[in-house]
Amino acid sequence: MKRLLAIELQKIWKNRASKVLTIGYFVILSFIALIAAIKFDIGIFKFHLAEMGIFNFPYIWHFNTFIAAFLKIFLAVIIVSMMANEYSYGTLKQNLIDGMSKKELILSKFLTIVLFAGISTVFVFIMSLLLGFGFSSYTEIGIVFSDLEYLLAYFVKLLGFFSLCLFLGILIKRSAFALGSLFIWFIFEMITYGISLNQIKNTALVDKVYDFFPLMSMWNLIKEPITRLSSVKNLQEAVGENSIKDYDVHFSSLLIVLVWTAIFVYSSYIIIKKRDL
Amino acid sequence: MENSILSIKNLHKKYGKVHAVNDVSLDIYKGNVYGILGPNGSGKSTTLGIVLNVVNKTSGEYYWFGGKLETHDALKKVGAIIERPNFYPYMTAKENLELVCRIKGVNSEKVDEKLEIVGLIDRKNSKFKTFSLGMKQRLAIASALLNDPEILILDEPTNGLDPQGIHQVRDIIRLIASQGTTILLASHLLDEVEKVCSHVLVLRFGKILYNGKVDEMVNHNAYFELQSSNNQKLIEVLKYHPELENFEGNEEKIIAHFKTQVEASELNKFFFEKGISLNHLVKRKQSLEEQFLTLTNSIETQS
Repeated sequence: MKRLLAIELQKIWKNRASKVLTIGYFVILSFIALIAAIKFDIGIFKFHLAEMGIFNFPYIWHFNTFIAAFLKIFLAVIIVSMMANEYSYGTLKQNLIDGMSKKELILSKFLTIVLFAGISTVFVFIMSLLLGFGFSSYTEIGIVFSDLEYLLAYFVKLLGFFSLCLFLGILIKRSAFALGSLFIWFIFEMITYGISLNQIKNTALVDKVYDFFPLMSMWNLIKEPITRLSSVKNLQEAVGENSIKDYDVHFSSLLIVLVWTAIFVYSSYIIIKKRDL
Repeated sequence: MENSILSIKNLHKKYGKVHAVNDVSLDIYKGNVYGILGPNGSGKSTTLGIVLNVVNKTSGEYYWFGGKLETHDALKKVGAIIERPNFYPYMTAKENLELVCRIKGVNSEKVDEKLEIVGLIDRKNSKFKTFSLGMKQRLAIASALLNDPEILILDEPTNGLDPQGIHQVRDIIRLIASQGTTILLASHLLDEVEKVCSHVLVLRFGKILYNGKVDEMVNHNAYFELQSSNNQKLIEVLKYHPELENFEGNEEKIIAHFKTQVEASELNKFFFEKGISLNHLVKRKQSLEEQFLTLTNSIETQS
């Protein structure tokens, strides 16, 4: 397993574009901390994000994982191109000739994905911990380490998304087209969701069905945290909108995404196995 | 059967309607140099692709090392290059070879040694994308040698190279063959196969036309090229030679076939006694190339 990871990491790390993107990803990820510095002073109206409670434990776990998840597209580019490059350089063929089995090939890519998702999760964990201790109103251990399931959800979200990218890279062989089709699929889910909501009045039913779509299921892992913020809530109540929303991470959503992950990885293997390279 | 390296039995591959490999069988034993000959598109690369785990067979069987190993594990003891050199362009020669070592699961200490053999040691820290085609091909050979393979498989190793590059690659192949490594060389260049191989498999449209020793294929029916200052007179005299079978004369050279083995010195003496001094006398064997064309053409006219 170490051997497979070493092979894959050498391929990625020696590639300047991938290296820059990886470093860029983590640099931008740490920019989340800069949200703390957002401050507006317009006369009597004072607006300071860090003091609005976004960095309060345990809310910070929810907020940071939600924001950080948007940046996954950076790593997705690396994953798609790491697969598409193997085709265009002809090295996929050469690796097999050199004695890598097709199973090992997929496994090495999958391990890389797990590693990326893992490192990103650990990074977000440490960053949130530091930010939280800097700005949170509550720092009791019991509160600090509550709601950690958001980190698990974050990990699974990345894992599922990267597996989809891997699958598209293997299926389509060209990074630009693979990313393009990822985008088209995203639009497709969006549009059909919108149409269904319009046509079928039963919102709950449509939501249930779309919970099973790959991108929608990943999106549903971590609900948007903005409306959960106490100050925003107060505002809503003032306007008269009283929503009782469920912000928890559900086991069923985790399971759906994990099943998609398995489907994507296994289909990747089948494609490589059946295809004449 | 201990020395069996690769055994192919009744292999078939169909791409839709195209029957790319049609009932190919081949046995490769340790220590010999094998050639697969055939024009472009005759199924050479497909056959190699199947045994190298990159193309799926339609039917038939193949066994590496007597069938004791899984294909991918067997391939760790094989060195192979297919068609064009495939490496990561952004890595240096050395890094590329180190990666191959990782895949094959061998120690990377041999990287420098193999780069030395193919004459790339001075460029080991240059990126692969800066290499010329000849250098890329030599790097591919170095890569195939990293595990000191039991068998070296080369598919069109001189394809697209300039004369100097062809020469270098052939020298390397000859060097490796002289060290007793089993080699399987696929090529459409016949003199290439003739020069280094002991056994040959001739393919056409995916079918085997000939499978056996090169010597037995190249018959000993030699012929002479003759030229003198007066070719007219030469022909007159030649007609009186008792062993003459036929001749073709053109302005420059006369090509004479004899019924039996005739030595060049005998022939020279014969002409000299008749008062003709030759300024060109060469005894030639029919090359594999001509044999090959005869073989493939005869099949074509049959069908």
